[in-house]
Parts: sequence; C-alpha cells; structure tokens
Amino acid sequence: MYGKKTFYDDPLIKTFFNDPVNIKLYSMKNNNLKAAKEFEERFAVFYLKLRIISYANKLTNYYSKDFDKKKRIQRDQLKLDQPNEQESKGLSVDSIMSKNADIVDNLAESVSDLLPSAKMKRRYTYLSMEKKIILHHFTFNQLNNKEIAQKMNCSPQNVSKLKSRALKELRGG
Amino acid sequence: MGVEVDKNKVLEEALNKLEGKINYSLGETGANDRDDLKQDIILRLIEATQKMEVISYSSFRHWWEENNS
Repeated sequence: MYGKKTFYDDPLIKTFFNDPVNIKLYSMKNNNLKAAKEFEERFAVFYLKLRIISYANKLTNYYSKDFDKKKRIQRDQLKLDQPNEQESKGLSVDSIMSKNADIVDNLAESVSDLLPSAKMKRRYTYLSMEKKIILHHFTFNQLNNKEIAQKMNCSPQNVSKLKSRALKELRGG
Repeated sequence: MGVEVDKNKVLEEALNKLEGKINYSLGETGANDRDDLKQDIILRLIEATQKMEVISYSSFRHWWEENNS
C-alpha cells in the first residue's frame, strides 16, 4: 500500500474536509439521518461550486485570449503607412472601417486616435475640416459616400475625391 | 443518497467569489467590452450550471473508487 493514494489524499476531498463542520457531520452521519443528509448536500454544493468556478475560469481565459486576438487584427489593419496589396488596388481604410467598426468605436474617439504614428497624427492636423468630417463619418458612423454627401450637401463624387486625397495626405503622398 | 441543491443559489455564491477574478482577467479590455464580456460569461455560466449534474458525496466516492482502484 506504500505510496498508493487513498480517497482522502485527493486534494478535492482534503479541501472539503478543511471545513470542521464537514468533519463533524461526517463523524455523525452513520447514526444520524439528518446529519447524513446535510453532509451529502454540503458536498454536492461544494463540488458544484468548484465545477462552476473551474468552468468560469476557462471561459474567462478564453474570452481574454479571444479579445487579444481581435485587438491584434485591429492593430495590423491600422498600419496605413505601410502600403500593401490592397492599397495598390484601392483604399485600405475601407476594410479597417467595415471589419472592425465595433472594436474601433470602443477604443477611439477621433480619427486621429486610430492613426498608428505621430507623423500621421501630425499630418491629420493639417487636413481641411471638410476632409476630417468625411473621415469621421466614414470611420465612426460607417456612412458610404452617398450618405456622407447628403449630410454635407455635396456630390458623392466630391466625397470620394476628398476622401482619397485625405488618405493620400495621411500617407504623406 | 439523492440530494437536492438550489443551483441558482450556488451559482450566485460562486459568482461573488469569481467577480474579482473575471475583472482581473478581462482587465486589459476596454470598459464597454469588459461589461459585455462579463454579461456573456454570466449567461453562459447560468446555462452550463443548469446542465450540471448534482453529485453527492456517496456518488463521488463511488466514482472515485472505480476510477482509482
């Protein structure tokens, strides 16, 4: 029997018997039906609570990791100053705004907050108010060119042109 | 011996213990996200708890002896 683990060596059981009430009930349970019932119930509550806590820990860890993953994707997509394949075809900002709009909304209050470098933040301050408003509507309100045009009393083509120029200026072009 | 347990009460007690741990683990997330995630975790916990079987000392011991002998 040397070295063999018994039921009472199990950490779970040891923890349960750390409570003196449980030891007392255990000693009474063979001669007292009420004590036996209470003892069984106390263990059931103890074990259920442990399982809930264990499950909650797993869930919390999973959610935290999942959030980190989303944050990394967001950061990668905010690298506006690094031209990529998508940029050569069109505007990378489209993908940033549409895919991560909900995350972006929670973390930033202005377009400037989203810009990855101090250089770009500085360039943003030089943009005309018109361009800033267009970028704001596009980023935070997720409006398309037509909707922005209606708000600004101009044509969608004009919005498209100003948006392209604003992004080009942000990239230093 | 069959036992009856108020699962909602047990869950409430567990949540009281867990709140600090959940807040700590979700600490890196923004305030709005944290509240949403917490709500989501709690909803999932409620659902899972209802599905969990209540296990008495006798049943657990029986299971332990069978799996550790």
